[in-house]
This record gives sequence, structure tokens and C-alpha cells, in this order.
Amino acid sequence: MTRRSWIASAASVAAMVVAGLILTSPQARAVPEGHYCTLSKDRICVDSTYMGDQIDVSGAALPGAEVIIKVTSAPGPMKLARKGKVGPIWMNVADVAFDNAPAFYKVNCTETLNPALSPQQMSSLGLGYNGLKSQIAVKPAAEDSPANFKEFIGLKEGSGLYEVKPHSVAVDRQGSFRTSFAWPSNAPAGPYTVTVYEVKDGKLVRQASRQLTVERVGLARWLADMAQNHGAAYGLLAIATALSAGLVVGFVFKGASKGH
Amino acid sequence: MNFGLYLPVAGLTVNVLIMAGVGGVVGLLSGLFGVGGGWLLTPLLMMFGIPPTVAAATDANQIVGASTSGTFAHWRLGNVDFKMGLMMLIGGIIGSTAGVQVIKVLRATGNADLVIKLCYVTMLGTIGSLMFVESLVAIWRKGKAHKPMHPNEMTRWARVMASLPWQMEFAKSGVRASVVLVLFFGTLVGVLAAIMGVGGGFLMAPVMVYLLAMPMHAVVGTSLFIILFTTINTTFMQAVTNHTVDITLAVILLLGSTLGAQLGSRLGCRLEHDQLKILLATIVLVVTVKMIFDLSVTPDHLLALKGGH
Repeated sequence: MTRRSWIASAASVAAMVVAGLILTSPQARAVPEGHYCTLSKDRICVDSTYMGDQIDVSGAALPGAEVIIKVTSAPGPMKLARKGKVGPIWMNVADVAFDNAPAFYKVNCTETLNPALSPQQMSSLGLGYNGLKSQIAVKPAAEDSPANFKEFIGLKEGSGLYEVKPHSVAVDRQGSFRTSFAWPSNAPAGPYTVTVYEVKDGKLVRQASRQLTVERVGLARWLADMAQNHGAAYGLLAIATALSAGLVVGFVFKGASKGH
Repeated sequence: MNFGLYLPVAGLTVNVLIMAGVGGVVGLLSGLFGVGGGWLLTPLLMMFGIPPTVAAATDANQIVGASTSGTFAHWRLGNVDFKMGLMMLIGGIIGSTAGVQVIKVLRATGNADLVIKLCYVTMLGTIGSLMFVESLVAIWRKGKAHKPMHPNEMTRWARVMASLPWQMEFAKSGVRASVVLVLFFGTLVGVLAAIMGVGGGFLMAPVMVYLLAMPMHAVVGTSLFIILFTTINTTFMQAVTNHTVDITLAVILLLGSTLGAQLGSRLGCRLEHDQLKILLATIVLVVTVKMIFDLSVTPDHLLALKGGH
């Protein structure tokens, strides 16, 4: 290969890479990413007195568009046990793992979620429980049943971590939308993504994402870190605390009984 | 006023007053009967949304405090036989180590859980029923004779006990027994407790009452002393391997349970041997019924988080 043709081929590769980057960047997608929505806070601090929180999402909607807002934590594995009947007895019969399932998943929308977009689009965006289902891998495959998925959703809804709420985004006459998400205290620490989708005539016309972080601070953070990273020291601290609590109460009662 | 407190390891907020109250009830039972109370506390904590693995591990941590308080109270009342406790403890350590291996083999054969649960229910049911009937008969006949029941059986068993080698005097309990026998019973309880995944207070108390013929009050104090050491071990292992001990939750539970254990041990002193025994039998039967209920009634949720008792 001559020096000249080498330069030419290198240039064409570079051009393709640049073109690829432009095509895959959000700006080049058919659906524009906007900067038109705001969160009431982008950081939730979890201290010892934390009781859960609430996040308000507001912004300006396109005229006539349905607004769908999804909040989700990073996907991860969730290990569960399925109960079944063996003879007359109910017991754990199988381990079921829901891989790629977010610990936290909430969707609020102006209308109902179902007719908003085609099922394919709902799946690719992970909108609604059916859309979410296509992104979760159930292992082993034999346990991938509608009944198990329903149980899984029921379990998460019961602990306040999953919710799909229709008619929960208010849009006023000026086109401003507003909604709020209840944040239970058991929502895990970590990064969260809030995505606003705008849908018109069955098509996604605009979307925007915001990041939100839940983090433990102060004593709560110190204890959680110690439990995770210094197990032996934490274990000794736990034992020493319990022993001294037992002894102190023992001595107090001894004193009290002497007084009588 | 707001009584919420965030638990960093469990990862949720609980009401301090409710949790301390739950601890109090469990501590009372612990001080009264010399049981750990994990069978009651773990499901209760899970009911309040604590993840099962955190519930079981924190439970052990909490029992360390409650049994310290209980052992202390019983020691002052002269109810702790340290010599007997240490012997049982040595057996228990050997037994639980062996038990962990046994369960590995059982699990490999499949369906072990079913066998274990059925054994547990049958054993607790049998022990509870026998104790209940026996103490009822004892209370019934008390007015007529102060002698213990079944004198023939007692003497036969006493003869077997006396014929074993290495006899040792356990002054606090007022019994004379073979070291080999005590170590054997300790090992047996350890094996069973490890297989069933429980603390073993329920198994230990009947063994000490019936097979070692110890008086009930000494049984309760000595049992608490043993539980103190086994739960220290469990807490440490859980903290190192699973990272699921929540100190904050344990402290809240201890607010109630250490007081409960003191009250329980005082209340126990006011009761007579047979009354205490029939109450223990009742509690054992209640646990059995609860287990049968859990096993036979269709659960609310067919999928559940893993862990717990």
C-alpha cells in the first residue's frame, strides 16, 4: 500500500467514525433531547432521621402532547424464591432470578399508558410493566411465566418501589406540566434517571433525561460503609454494643432492686 | 413527635416505639423461658418490611444483648450453672460444625428442606405435647403427692445415667451426670440447631429438664448463658460473610428486649417449677402450630425474598 492510499483509507475510516458518532448522538436522533424539564432536587440525602421524600418534576410540554415520566434506578439482579406445594406442604421449590430489573421503577402519565405508543416502542423504551418485562431476563427460563412476573410486580408494588400511575401528570393551559413521585425510605441509595417522554398522535416527539442521586450521609453512611467493607470490625462493634446494653440494663435493675 | 429512624443496613425507616415494643415482648419470653426468641422476632421484623437476611442476622445480634441481660439477672438469682453451660457449649460447637456438613450432604440429595421441616414440626410437637401433659398431670396431682411423676422411668433413666463413665457433680443444678452424656447432648442439640437453622433454645431446655433432670429455673438461666455465646458467634459470622447485621435496628430492639428479659426472669421466679414448665410447653406448642400453619396455608405471595428462618 502506497503512502498516499494509506492516508486516503485512514481518512475514510475517520470520516465513517465521525459520521457514526453524529448519527448515534442524541442530537441526530429523530427524537430530540430537550432541556425543558426540572426536578425539585437532584440529590436526596439519607441521614438517620430520613423518612422518605418526594420529587417534583415540572416543565413545558409541547402543545397537545401526552407527557409520560419514568423514574428508574440502575438495573440489577433480584433473587427470589418461588413457593410451591410438595404433597400437603408449601415450601420454597425454586430459585428465580430477575436479571436487569431496576430496584425502583415508577411511571406517571397524563392519560393512561396503553394507547400512547406501539407495543414495540413501549418495549424499547421500557415503558409500562409490559415494556419493562421485555428488558428483564428471568432465570432459569422455565420460570419465565406471566404468573411469576405478576407476582414479582405485586411484590415490588407492595414495598412501594414500583408504580404505574395514569392521570397523574397535570398540564395547565400554558402547557406547563407537573407531577410528583413519592420516594419511600426503602428506595436504595444510588443513581436514578428521570426521563420525560412526549407523545403526539402515537409518536414519540421529544424526550429529556435528568439524573438524581440518593446517598447516605453522616452516621447512616458510616455504618453502611463499615458493614459492607469492614465486616469483622463491624461484627465486633455489634457484639460489644449488645453486650454493653445487656450489662448496663442488668446493673440498672440490680440498683433498682437494691433500692426496694 | 416523629419516632422514625433510618436503618442504614436494612435500608429503610422504622418507628422506634413499635420496634422497641416488639423487642420487649421477645425479651420477656426470653427471660422467662431461656429461649432466644428468633422464631418470633424474625417473622415479625419481616412483617415490618425488614429484608429476611437482615432480620435473621440482626435478630442474633439482638439476642446477644437480651441474653446478656437475662443471664445477668439469672446469675444474681443463682440460676446459672456455668459448668453445665460450658460443657453443653463445647458439645454445641462440635455439633453445629458437624451439622453444617450434614446439611450440605442433605441439600445435595434434594428435597432436604421438606425432610428438615417435617422433622422439626414432629419433634417440637412431640416435645411440646409431652411436656404439656406431664406438667398438667404434675400440677393436678400436686395436692396429693409431692413426688415427681413416673418414678419407675425416672429411676431406670437415673440408673443408666449413673452407670456412664466420668461422672461429674453439677452443684448449681443439683445433679450428677456423666461428662460424656452432657457433651453428647450438647452435640446433638448443636447438630439439630444447625440443620434446622435455629438457635436451639427450644431443643436445649427440654433436654436439660427431662434427660439431665435439672430444675426448671437452672435450665432457664443456663440456657440463656449458652444462647449468649452461640449468638455472639452467629452475629460475627453474619457480619463477616453476609454484611446483614443492622446495629441501629439491634439497638432499638435492645431498648425493649433487655428490659423485657429482666422482667421475664423476675416473673419466672414467682412461678413454680411446674407452672413454668407448662408455660414453656405452651410456647413450644404455639411455635409448632405456627409452623404447621405456615406450611399448610396457601401463602399470600408465591414469590418472596430469599433468607430468614
